[in-house]
Amino acid sequence: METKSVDLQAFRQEVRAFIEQEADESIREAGRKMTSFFPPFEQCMRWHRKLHARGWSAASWPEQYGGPGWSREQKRIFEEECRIAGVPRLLPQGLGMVGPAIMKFGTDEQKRRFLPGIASGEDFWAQGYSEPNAGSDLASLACRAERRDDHYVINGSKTWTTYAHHANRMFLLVRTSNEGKPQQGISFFLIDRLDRPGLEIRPIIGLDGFPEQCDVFFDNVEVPLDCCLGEENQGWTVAKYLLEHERGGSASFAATFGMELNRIRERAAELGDGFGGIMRDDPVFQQRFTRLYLEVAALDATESRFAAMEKGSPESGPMSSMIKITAMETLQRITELAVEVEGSPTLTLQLAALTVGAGVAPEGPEQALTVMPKYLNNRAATIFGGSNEIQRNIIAKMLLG
Amino acid sequence: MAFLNDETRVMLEDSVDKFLGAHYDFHQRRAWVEQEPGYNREHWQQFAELGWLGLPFAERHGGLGGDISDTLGLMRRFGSALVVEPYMSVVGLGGQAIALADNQDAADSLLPELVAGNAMPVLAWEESISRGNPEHLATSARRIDGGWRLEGEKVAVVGGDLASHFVVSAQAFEDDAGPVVELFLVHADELQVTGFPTMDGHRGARLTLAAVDVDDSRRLTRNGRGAEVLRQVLEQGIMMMAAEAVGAMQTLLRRTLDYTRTRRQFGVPIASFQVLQHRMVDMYIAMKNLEHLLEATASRWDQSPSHARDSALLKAQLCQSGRYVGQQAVQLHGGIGMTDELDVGHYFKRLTALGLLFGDESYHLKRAWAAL
Repeated sequence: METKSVDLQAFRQEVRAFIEQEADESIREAGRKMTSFFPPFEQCMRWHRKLHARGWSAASWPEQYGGPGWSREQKRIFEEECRIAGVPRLLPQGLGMVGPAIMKFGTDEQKRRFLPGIASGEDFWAQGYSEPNAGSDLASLACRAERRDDHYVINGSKTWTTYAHHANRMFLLVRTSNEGKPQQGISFFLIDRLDRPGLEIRPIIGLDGFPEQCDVFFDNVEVPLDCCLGEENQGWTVAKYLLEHERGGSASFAATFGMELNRIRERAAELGDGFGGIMRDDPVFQQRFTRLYLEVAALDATESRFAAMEKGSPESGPMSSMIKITAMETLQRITELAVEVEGSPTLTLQLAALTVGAGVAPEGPEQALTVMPKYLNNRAATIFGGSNEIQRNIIAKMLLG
Repeated sequence: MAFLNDETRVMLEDSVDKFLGAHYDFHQRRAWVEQEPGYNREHWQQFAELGWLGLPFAERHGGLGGDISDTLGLMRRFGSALVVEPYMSVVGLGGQAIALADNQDAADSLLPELVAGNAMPVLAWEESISRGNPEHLATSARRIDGGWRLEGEKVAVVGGDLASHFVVSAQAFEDDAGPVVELFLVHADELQVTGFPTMDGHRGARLTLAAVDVDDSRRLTRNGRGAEVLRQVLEQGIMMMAAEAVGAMQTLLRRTLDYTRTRRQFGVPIASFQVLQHRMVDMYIAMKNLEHLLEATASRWDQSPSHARDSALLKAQLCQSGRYVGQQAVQLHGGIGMTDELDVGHYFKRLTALGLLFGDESYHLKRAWAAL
């Protein structure tokens, strides 16, 4: 694919023109009001469907499943243009997580049934991994499925299920056996409908006052036997493959963080230092800012190495852990600096102004609106997707054997 | 220092413990926060009856004759229970500004009302340009016949949504000489109050003063003493905030220790992991640093000619300790620490707010450097 000759400049123009044309004000507003890893749902999915209509929604998928057949360069340009325009990043659960897992482990029937809806944005998949008593220790999960006649019966619960209250489908890990090591009795299920009897979804209000995560309860929920992705009791292999996708690799954190830093630098040129000067000229600010700039530069270098690395090489697991640790901690420090730069106006609670489409003007400077919710929400960045403590364990294992 | 005798102080602190134990429940607090006026009015009346509102005020104003250091034990308990009533705003800032200012008539008429729970004067000093510095302000007071015309905007007025009066700082242009900072008393219905809830469950406001005319009786300070009074009030306020932060950290640490002892992963309580033990030790050290620094600061308060350095260092320590303990309490709780349902996130948010109010760490380190 790399050899295919494409006029990259023309491609960039094409992408830019498309975004200009199709990203309407509410989609852009959703991009601006993104305060966590997950953009406002409705506008994000609408953008997803618009991209699909152009054949661009599943940028990193193979062409046979609906990918656009772009080279690495084209993908980079596309991502860059989206970032610059500030359109919401597409939700990863389908495109980046369960989609690739279905391609790798799915039957032809599962691929036919599920991949098109993921690419088109017609379906939204929630990820059912964590449980109240299985977070860092995911393998200890207890939500179980028993075979009864021609179906499975699921009992138990899942938690931290992002946007489950918006989802129509769900992939989840369930215990199908208690034999052997905890990892061995886990299966990976694809639930095609969430309106099944006994399935209940309850949103959880986060620190920022908005529901993003959910609790999901299963009380004798029946699902067909063919919902299993890969072999029964072999779900851990699928989960590990998928976690590696989640932990890194696909998105470029450094580029996004660089934009956050730019915004901070712009604001520092506008805001006073309390002594008659401006923030940007304050040497303490300069040092803190530049230290973060350095962190992002180092992260960028690591991400480039990781992108060039062969998938599945022995180093790639620890490397993705390293990216997760450094990226998430840098992100937290960036959000912390942003709060300090904007100062006390960030204390105002602005649920209405943050709601896309509500038409409520922010109290205080508009640039301060998302700063505190980002700080609060990103405290989760070192918790989710395998806490940073767990990621350090992975690297320690590599170093110490 | 402590002006109250030990017996009175112990009695008071006992009454706080009893009250909070009996009446202050986190889930009820949520309801108070979400409804108007954003706190429990009955509590405020009880605060008055129990003498708490009069703690640092003179007996002739109905107070107990103590001073700010006498409020620290109470503030620590308030922090521990995440009390949302605007005690610091009204008693510590608004009331103290009036008590320390030069206008006896205003003090004589307003402070007894405050102590009785009727008046709620709040200090309005911060502006969008101030970034912690009370002497960097644009609000102006210009002479008019028999009084003053105030113009400007105040932001992040803590408790401003609930105030009956505001103590407003302004650059006063008296003679031909340059302006000096003075304080003025303005009734809440004389200016435009844009109130809002804040992320820590408290209330705040932005004040717009568009040609607010007040007569001479509302001038609280003379000869440019406004800056000095503001400094004193904010320095005392920082001590109260530090005490509240210590209380909040005590609760957070206790919650975190309890949680890690009961939360099991990999077949064992997560408290058995050394990396988490060390983290909790560091939380403990961070909390103790602030607690000890506060004690030392309070004990030498009345012998010290200037509190600039001490209060700046104290606030910087509050920022550091509060941030570390708050962030790590959430981290060690994991996902559940990120929820609105659990009180841990609310303590974290309160500590975040206390860190930002009245100047952040960077501002206070600069202030401390200048006062070394």
